[in-house]
Parts: sequence; structure tokens; C-alpha cells
Amino acid sequence: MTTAVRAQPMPRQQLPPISFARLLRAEWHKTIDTRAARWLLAAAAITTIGALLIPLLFPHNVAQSRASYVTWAGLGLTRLLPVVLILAMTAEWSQRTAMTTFTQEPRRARVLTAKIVTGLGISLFAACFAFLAGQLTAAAADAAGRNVAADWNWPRLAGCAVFIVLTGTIGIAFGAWLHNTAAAIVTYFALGAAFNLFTIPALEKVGSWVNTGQTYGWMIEGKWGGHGAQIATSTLLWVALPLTLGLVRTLRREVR
Amino acid sequence: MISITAVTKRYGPVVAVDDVTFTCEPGTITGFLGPNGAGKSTTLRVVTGLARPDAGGATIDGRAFAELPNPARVVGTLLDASAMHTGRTGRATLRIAATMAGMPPSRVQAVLDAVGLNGAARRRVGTYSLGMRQRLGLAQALIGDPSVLILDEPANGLDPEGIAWIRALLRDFADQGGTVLLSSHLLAEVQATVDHLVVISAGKIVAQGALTDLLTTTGLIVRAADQTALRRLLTQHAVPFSAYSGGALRVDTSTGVDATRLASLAVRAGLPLSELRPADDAGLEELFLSLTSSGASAGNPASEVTR
Repeated sequence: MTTAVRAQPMPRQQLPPISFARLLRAEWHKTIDTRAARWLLAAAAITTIGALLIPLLFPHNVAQSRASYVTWAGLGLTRLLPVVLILAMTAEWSQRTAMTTFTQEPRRARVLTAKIVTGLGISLFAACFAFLAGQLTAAAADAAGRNVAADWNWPRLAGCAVFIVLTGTIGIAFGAWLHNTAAAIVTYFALGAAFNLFTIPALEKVGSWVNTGQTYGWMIEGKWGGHGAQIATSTLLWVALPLTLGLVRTLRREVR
Repeated sequence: MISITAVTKRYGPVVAVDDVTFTCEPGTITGFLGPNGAGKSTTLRVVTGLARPDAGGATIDGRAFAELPNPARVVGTLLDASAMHTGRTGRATLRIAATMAGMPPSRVQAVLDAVGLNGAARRRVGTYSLGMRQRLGLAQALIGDPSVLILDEPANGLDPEGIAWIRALLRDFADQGGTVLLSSHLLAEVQATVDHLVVISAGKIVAQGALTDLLTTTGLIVRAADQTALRRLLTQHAVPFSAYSGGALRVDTSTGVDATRLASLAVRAGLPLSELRPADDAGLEELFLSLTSSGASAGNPASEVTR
């Protein structure tokens, strides 16, 4: 028999607790080491590049500025980023790995926090990727002879970065709340479709507070002024609320 | 050491686990035996902190599971071999467990070797057979080099060679001071593996003790061609008995009745006996069936046997 199965009779309860850095490392691996996650990340990169073709191919319809290219990259990226993060949040329940995870770390709030931080990290990484992809494409277009304005519209660039991170966070929140992969993805996209109802004049006023399609639209365009409260309200509704529900549910749910 | 004290767990009106108490000592393998749905898995989930008991509690080495700073270093668990991410490779699965437990990457290789999964480590778990998932689950349980193992139906899906292998592995683990608690609904599986036995039926413990003690049943098996006459004779002389398999009767010897007395009773009544022997070969299966059969009263191994 190998040493791998040697039991240790000495007491082990006094070992140090699991550090948060270790939980983060474990969650990072979990998010990217499955087949589904790798395909989705690759697909998200492809939709980013696909979106960049729009300012590239339609120069007369799309503003030719650096910020514009970055915005398009961000819009492409955020089609699938929430799905990657939904998967990361729901896998424990849909794939039933919660049984192992929560016996290895019974303090579930720590695990959930590590998942959220990892998700935010991936969203930030995605925002950097969108920035780089947008800048590189704009530079390439410029070099190819097209006149791309080097306007460093900071409210707009910042808006784009915050937009990417918050869109990712909506995925995190929906996954944390619903636990079921299919249910979370369907709800996420169904909600996006339902937001179209807010174009009805009677609902426009409500929509300007709850419809992230509109509030985050101001954000991408860098129109922060006057819309801060509306952006914050819609974020509370679609990020903070499901995240809180998810935390409560994760702490209480029995693993079977 | 695992201590389970007066654990009760209800799901709505159903009492899944009813006042269950037992302990598992270091150096021993305890078999948690019972038919499907008897409450084994629920008990193990309470012990590992995955389910909240309505009453009672459990400790590992004196601490509640949820209070262990790094549980995997104390207790390895395999509660359901099918509860693994199918899209992850075997090695990646173990790497995550090792990361959380704070074990070096070399530990992954060590446990892969220990369970014989080296060849399949790069394959996705979705392609594994149930037996391979059991091996991976056991590797995961061993990753933190624990002193306690809690395994729910670990032999499920293993072939005879695999069962012999896990038996040797667990024996070795216990012989070096480890504590093992494993559940099973198959008697033959645990009979050759465990030192102690806890039998659960309909949420209640119906028998527990050292395997050797439980196997030594007191009583006499007595059989006559005229069974009705035999029953009448025993009832007449107030000798307690119960039905045994094949139409024979099991006589309770705790009241002082012995073989000589039974024989002389039969001779005087002119009733020829075809069998009269100690019941010590009744075997664990008889015990198991008698303890868990419907209608058996808790704690009374001598109640009616149904086949």
C-alpha cells in the first residue's frame, strides 16, 4: 500500500483555516478548467472580434473614434460574458459539486465570496481585453489609412469598463440566486427581451429606473450626469437584490 | 473518532432519521447498514454538515464538522460519486481539492497512484464509469491525508476486484489508526470489511455492536415434521420462540431453556425432532433480514423473519 493512504492518528483540528487566497485559486481553476467554460470564453472572444467588424466595415454609419471601437468591443464581449459567469456560479448545484466544496469549506459565505471576487476578476480581465481589442483594431484601421479620431473620451471609456463589469456581475448574481444553469441563462435572456416592453410610452418612466438596457446605455455613452441615481437603482435591482437572495439561499440550502 | 448523538432529521412529516446515536473509534471500520431509504445518507449528510439536524448533533474528533478549520485534513468524505463535474478531467478535479486543502500538487499524483486512476487522469469525468468515479471520489477523500473517512456506498459500481481492493485499502487505513465509517445496503459487501456494525431501518438504529458479537446469536433452532405440534408443545411449556427460515423455529435461550430440556420435552410428548442445534450459524444475513424486515420491532432480533 502506498503512503497516500496512510492515516494520521495525530489530532488535526488545530490546523490553520483555509486562506481566502486559496479559495480564490480554487474558484479560478473551477471557472476556467471545464470544457463548457473554455468554449464559452473562446466564443466570447469571437463575438468581440465580430462586433469590431461593425465600425470597421461600416465607417460611414459608425463614429470612427478610439472610444467608439472600444464600445463596440465591449458590446460584443458582453453577449456571452454573463453566461460564463452564470456557469461558474451554478455548477456547484447543477453538477452537484457543492457536496465536495461545502464539505471542504463549510463556511459557505466564504466560498460564495471567493466566487464573486473571481467573477469580478474575470469581468475586469474581460474589460481590459475589450479595451485592447478595440484599441488595436482602431490603430490598425488608422494605419490602413482610415482617419480614426484619437479622442480619449474618459467618461465613455470608464462607462464601457463599468458596463462590462456590471453586466458580468448580473450573470454572477443570477447564477448565485437561481442555482440552476438552464434556469439562470433563460431568465437572464428572457429578462433582456422583456425590457423591450419599456419602449411602450406608458412604461418609459419606469423603464428609465429599472431597464438596464437604457440605464447602462447612458453609461456606455458616458452620459453619467443626471443618470447616476437611475443607473444605481437598476443595478441594485438586478445585481444587489439577486446577489443577496443568492447568499441567503446558498447558506440555507441543504446539499443532497 | 466520530460521535453521533441523538440525531433526528425530519423532511416535512417524514422522520428520515430518528434519534440515531453511535460512535466510530479510531482503528476500526464501522459499517452503517440498512435498506435503501433507511436514513443512512441523511445521517451522513448531517455528520458532514450538509444537512441541519432537527435535534442532536455529531462531532469529528470532538468538534462539529462546520467548526473544523480545514475539514479535508481531518476527515475525507465521499458522499456521492456521481456528484462530480462531468466537464472536468480527473486530475483537474483533484487539483481543485488539493488547492482548497492546502496540499502540494504532488499530492494529486500520490492519490491518483493510490486509487489506480493514472491512465484516466487526463480524461473528462463524464467519460468515467461509476466504478472509476468511485475511485476518483476516494482519491478526493484521501487528498488531505485525513485520519477519518466517511464513505457513502463506496463499493457501488465497483467490480469484485475493485471491492477487494477498497477492502484492503480501508483495512490498511484503519490498521494505521484511521477511523472509517462506510454505509451499504448490501450485507455481503460489509460482512468481510467491517469491525463494527450499525444497522438502521426506517430511520432508527435497530442493532449495533462488534461484528463478532452480532454474529453470535443466542438461541436454538428446532424443527419437527409436525410443526403445529411443536408450536403447541413450546407454547404449553411457556418456551419463547419465533419463526425461523424453512419452517423451523428459533427458541430464545435467554430464559434458561437449553437443548437437553427441549429434547426431553419432545421425547415426553412423543414428538420426533428432525433438527435441534445452536443458532450460531444464523449468519449476518438472517440478522439483517430480521432486523430490517417490515413489521420487525426495533431492537428485537428475534421477531418474525420474512423471506
